[in-house]
Amino acid sequence: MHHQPIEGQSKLLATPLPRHHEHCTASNKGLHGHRYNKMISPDGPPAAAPVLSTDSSDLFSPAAAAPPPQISHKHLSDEAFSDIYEIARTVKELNSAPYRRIALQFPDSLLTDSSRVYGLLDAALNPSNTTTDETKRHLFILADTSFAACCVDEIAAQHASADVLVHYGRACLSPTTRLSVIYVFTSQPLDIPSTITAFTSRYPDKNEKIILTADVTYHSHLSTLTTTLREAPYNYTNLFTTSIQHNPAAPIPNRTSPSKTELKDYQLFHIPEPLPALQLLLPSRLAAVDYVDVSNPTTYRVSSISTTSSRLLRRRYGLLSQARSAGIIGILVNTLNVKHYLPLVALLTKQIREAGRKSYTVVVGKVNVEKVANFAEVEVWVGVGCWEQGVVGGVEGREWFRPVITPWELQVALGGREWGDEGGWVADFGVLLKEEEKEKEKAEKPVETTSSTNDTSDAQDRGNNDDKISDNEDSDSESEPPVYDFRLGRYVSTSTPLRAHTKSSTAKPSSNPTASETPSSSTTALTTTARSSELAKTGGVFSPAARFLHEKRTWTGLGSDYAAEGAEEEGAVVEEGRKGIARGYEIGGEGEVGLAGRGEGR
Amino acid sequence: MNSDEPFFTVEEIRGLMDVATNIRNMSVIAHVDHGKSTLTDSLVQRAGIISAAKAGEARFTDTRQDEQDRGITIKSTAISLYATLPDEDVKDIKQITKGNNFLVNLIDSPGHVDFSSEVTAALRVTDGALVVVDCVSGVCVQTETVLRQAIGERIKPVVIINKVDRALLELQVTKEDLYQTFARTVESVNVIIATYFDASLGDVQVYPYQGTVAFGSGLHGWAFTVRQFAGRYAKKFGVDKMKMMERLWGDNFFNPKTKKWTKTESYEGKNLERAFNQFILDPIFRIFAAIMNFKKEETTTLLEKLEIVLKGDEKDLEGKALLKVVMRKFLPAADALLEMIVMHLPSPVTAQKYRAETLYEGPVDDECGVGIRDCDPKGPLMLYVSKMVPTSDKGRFYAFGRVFSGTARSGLKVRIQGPNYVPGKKDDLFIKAIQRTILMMGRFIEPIEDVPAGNILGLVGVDQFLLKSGTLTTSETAHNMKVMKFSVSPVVQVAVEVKNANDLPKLVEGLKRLSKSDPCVLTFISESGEHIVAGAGELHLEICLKDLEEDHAGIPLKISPPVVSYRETVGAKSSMTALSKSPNKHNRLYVTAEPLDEEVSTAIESGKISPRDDFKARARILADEFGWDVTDARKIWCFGPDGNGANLLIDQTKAVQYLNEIKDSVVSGFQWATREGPVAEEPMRSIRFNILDVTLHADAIHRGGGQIIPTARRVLYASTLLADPGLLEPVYLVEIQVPEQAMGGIYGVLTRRRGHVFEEAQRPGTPLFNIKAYLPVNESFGFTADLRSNTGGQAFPQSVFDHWQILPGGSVLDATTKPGQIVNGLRQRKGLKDAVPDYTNYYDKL
Repeated sequence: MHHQPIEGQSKLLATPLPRHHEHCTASNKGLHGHRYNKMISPDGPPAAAPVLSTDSSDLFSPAAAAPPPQISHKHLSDEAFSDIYEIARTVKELNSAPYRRIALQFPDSLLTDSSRVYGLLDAALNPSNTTTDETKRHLFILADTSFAACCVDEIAAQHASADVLVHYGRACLSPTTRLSVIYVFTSQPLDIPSTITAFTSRYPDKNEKIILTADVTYHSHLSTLTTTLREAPYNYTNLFTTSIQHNPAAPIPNRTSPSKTELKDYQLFHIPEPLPALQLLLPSRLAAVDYVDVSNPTTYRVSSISTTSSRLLRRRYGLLSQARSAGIIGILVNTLNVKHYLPLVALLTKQIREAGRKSYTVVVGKVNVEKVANFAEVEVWVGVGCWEQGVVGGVEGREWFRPVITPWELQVALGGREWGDEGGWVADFGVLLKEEEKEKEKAEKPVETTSSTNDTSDAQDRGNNDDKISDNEDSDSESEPPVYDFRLGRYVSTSTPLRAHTKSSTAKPSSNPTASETPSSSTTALTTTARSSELAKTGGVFSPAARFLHEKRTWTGLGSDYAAEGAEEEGAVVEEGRKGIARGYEIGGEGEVGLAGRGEGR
Repeated sequence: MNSDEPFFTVEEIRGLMDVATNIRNMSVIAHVDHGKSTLTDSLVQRAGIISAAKAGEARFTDTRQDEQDRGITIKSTAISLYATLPDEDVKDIKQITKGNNFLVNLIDSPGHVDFSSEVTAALRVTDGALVVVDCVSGVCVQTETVLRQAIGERIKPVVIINKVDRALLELQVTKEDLYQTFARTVESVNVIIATYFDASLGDVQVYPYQGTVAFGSGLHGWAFTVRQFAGRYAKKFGVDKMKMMERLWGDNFFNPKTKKWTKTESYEGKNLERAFNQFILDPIFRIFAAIMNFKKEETTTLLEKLEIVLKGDEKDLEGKALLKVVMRKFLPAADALLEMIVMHLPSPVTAQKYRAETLYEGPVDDECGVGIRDCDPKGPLMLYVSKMVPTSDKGRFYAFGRVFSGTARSGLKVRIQGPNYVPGKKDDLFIKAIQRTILMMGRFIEPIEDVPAGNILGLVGVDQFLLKSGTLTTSETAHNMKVMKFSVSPVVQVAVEVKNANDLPKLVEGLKRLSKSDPCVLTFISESGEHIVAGAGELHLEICLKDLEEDHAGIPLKISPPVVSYRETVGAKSSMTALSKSPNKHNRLYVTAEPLDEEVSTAIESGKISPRDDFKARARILADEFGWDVTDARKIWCFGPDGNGANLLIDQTKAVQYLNEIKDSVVSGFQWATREGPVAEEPMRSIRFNILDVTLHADAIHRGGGQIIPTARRVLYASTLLADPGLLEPVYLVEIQVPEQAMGGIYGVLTRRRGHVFEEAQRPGTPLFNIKAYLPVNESFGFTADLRSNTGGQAFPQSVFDHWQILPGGSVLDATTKPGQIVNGLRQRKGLKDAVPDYTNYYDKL
């Protein structure tokens, strides 16, 4: 087994490469050359650095950011270690099907344990006496996930052509599309007596309806806890214990729960502090939510999330309010494997366009502040990720140059739905898609009924078109009213950059979401009016981002700063320089003279 | 014109509008309770251009129910008046006029300081101002504020000293005392005017002997000018009217024995009576004495002498009622005021000549500038919308404004330029047809075909494009009309919440409408998700919230206690140069922060120094007036927050490669940082940041916005935290009028509230004291009630935002000090970590 780890380690940084930019729109690519911010590329020795530029040695110095805290399991015995990593169960499941290539995905915090896990699994799966080269089962360690560590990294798995993936650590359990996955939650230790004390102090009434639930990493303790609490001396009668299910859209995401109507009567007890997404989501669905804080092992404290969650919700509301007037919205894809992500991106693109805004789809790999701040023209980001990371960029997002909101929040901002409807904040975007489908069905039905008589439907179409055209005439000559910007408290006129432009294209029944972006259909509409000819275009398509660069940027390339600063001074007179090839430059058409002159100089 | 004469049709009014030389646009401005609206009433009843039956009720221009209930004006209201002057008066007018008919557009404005923004909006569309001063309480803080604003806008003032009846009836003053009161009041008005002297406007001080001061009683409906009496006596004495006017004011005495005029007040040991007292006050005093003492016979002779004829039942009146009738017939207020207005206030033609340069942002000699200067109805349209007036159709507004050039008509397609429009750019520019032009008079509106330059009008159908104000034009090259600067700031704010979660959309919509309906109020959603309404003071907020709850949103609201908006600033220069590295460690920014001189900050906020100025002109001003280094002054990268705030970013680097390439990114970071400071996420104010040095990676890809923007913010935070950060709190200037015996109570209240008195003066001839004090806005909540209860209801404060001051009592970084506690409170409200982050969070070691 000594020759095996080499292959595993060589895949240690199985990072999917440029794959991302399939999702960048054309105009975006033109504006920003650098997309793969995730690679710190030592791009060779910099050419003669100017005095004030960074010392080239800096290039290779490690990033100073503190590494995330790592839970070490090094000191544990093999047995305890196997327990935490559920080696036995994993092996059993892996043996249940003819998996040949197995990927092991670790979050950064558990990476130190990866080789030990690899060793244990390899020993169990490839017993040295029976394994031949044909029957050998290959294991790969995947690290530095493309997106969030809670999601299954299908792309990295594809690099290794894996047919099964073992996911270690906390998981968001989002449905995957292509790969079978075995989840190992790596159970965390929990002090049961302390937890019970905390629980009983919070719920003195034994008949109260309580849901007991835990983070996946603590979930293994739930059964013990429940049995203890149901028995004497505690005798809780109305205890509901959740079990894990793969359904982020459930009332309690990924957990079983009492029926939705009953849920309002229940209080929820969570171990440990729930994730931000849960804090936003749960309060509106349950009577009360409390959690036990286990960060300090000596004292377990029970707290309620109501104060923090209402504050967080307000903050979310504040952030989405900024999107109400945003003209350029970036769709920040933070996943490539969550089911529905493609339909969702398409839906968002469509909705954003219908609202007269411009969207750019951007994939930057693991999202961070710097990468996203590179797109200065984007006013608001909408993050498409799993429900846990649904709040891409953190719930508070104070460090972000532009706010990052969720798809549901964007729909609120665009006026599609109301904040506070549907019983609170929504994280799972499956819900959004379902509703969209329903609407589509509704919309399609009447068409079907009328399609039997072609004449009438044609007439209808014509009638509709006439209406639209008269609208168009208005909008061609008169402007759209501005939108009130709730962040600044004044009107902004940049919030619907596509309004005048897409009117004509949306008027057509465009079921194809890319219809208006193809140059052929939109340019004809554009060139007809004088106003639109003033708009900034790239490749024949109206581009708000290009307009941003044109109007907001002072730096427009080399020499532009001199134009501004040196306006008062007379520039040097432009003289015709040398031309030709290095062997014999021509100067002012007298090639021989030039050459001779140079020769003399030597 | 009398109320029984036929009224004007719209066509006739339209006819008057064409003669711009005979238009007078004027506002009535004064301190609260000095009697503007009552005075306006007497004008409307006499000379209103629309039915007096409609105008009959009291306080015609107070169109809102709460205005009537509270007895204060909240919104400014326009009303048109018609005046005919006799030929002899017309020939004395010192500007070009045509014929005897005049159209006076009068705007009655609120007097309470909290609503001064309404005054500002009114002043913008007028050329003259009638300043009303209470003869008993004299020139007050708001009188000064509005006068200053008026002169700043190049508005010519005339004055009426009001409530003379009170002096006569309640205070029982002697003639000489009254004269002295008048003289003092006129003098204090002139002191203010002289302080804000504007060479282009010329000397606009007011003099009774020139006819620019009237005296009267709005309540009783009478008033007079020296000129009127001079007219009467000029015939009698057979002297020139002008000469007579001069003699009827000041130290001029008529010696009845020698029948000669003299400047000395005694003759042969006997005191002579002042001409003003003898010829003007004497008849008035005699009427008052005779009627109020019920001396029937004396009254009858007096009336005969003054040629006052009483009609039927008027003869049966007695006392005050009779006095009113007699005085109205003797000295009708409308005559005196209209004469003064028409003769001494400028027509649009006159005024726009010298106002053009202050009104127009662009060069005065371009097409539009010339149009404004000449008040040319055939020029390109230049129309300034100064405020929005709610219509009965909810959510829609009339745009109220004035045509400065060209002619506005229904159906005309115009360019609507918002306050952020920059010529040549698309921002804040809209094309739209004017749906309808209307006349706005009090509560009533009349459609009108078109409105030529020089007139005030309302517009239908452009409200969706302008929040509060803006420029309408037909010229593609037009610059904006200058944005109005308000003397009040929205420094008091409350958070509003819906009681019923389903009402949220209505609240959001209501906030938009509220913001539109008031020139000063600010509504927004804070970063922490609260709906904020910010106003000038408690009363202003109260009115706004009432409007929001009852009208604009129409839903029940939960309203938080008022809080103050703070600003973050620095108290010293950064103790060391702050350095931050970009996330990739390849770029470094070196910055120091230091306080910006308060004068510079004020100049920025008042628009004297602005980001739109030519940088060379701006550098000149900074160098000449504020002692800046010219090189620094020329290298101001930007203002912030929002591109126009009172924080500056200065480039002090020397020969840094690629510097201009990252300028936009640094500016973005600067706007971000100054909008939310490091101490409590409040906006910054009055900080000057110097970029000392920058090192950048040679490859453009490593110095993109993503690397620079967050770094710029970090380094600005670090430099702020290294420069003795502090909080600025807004401070009110409070003026209190109080009788001597109640003064003790005031000091107690002020001291408890961290206020201090800096001026205390007795009003000559009265037991009243005028106290001026500074009071932190944060301590002002409930101040009025507190003051009244401590002075037995005898003290009346007027508070107006004056300046920002550093919150005293220690460092904001120390949680045990008062500023530290305030910061903690702010941070908690916003859900931030309790302690202010240390500078090391933003500072990188080399």
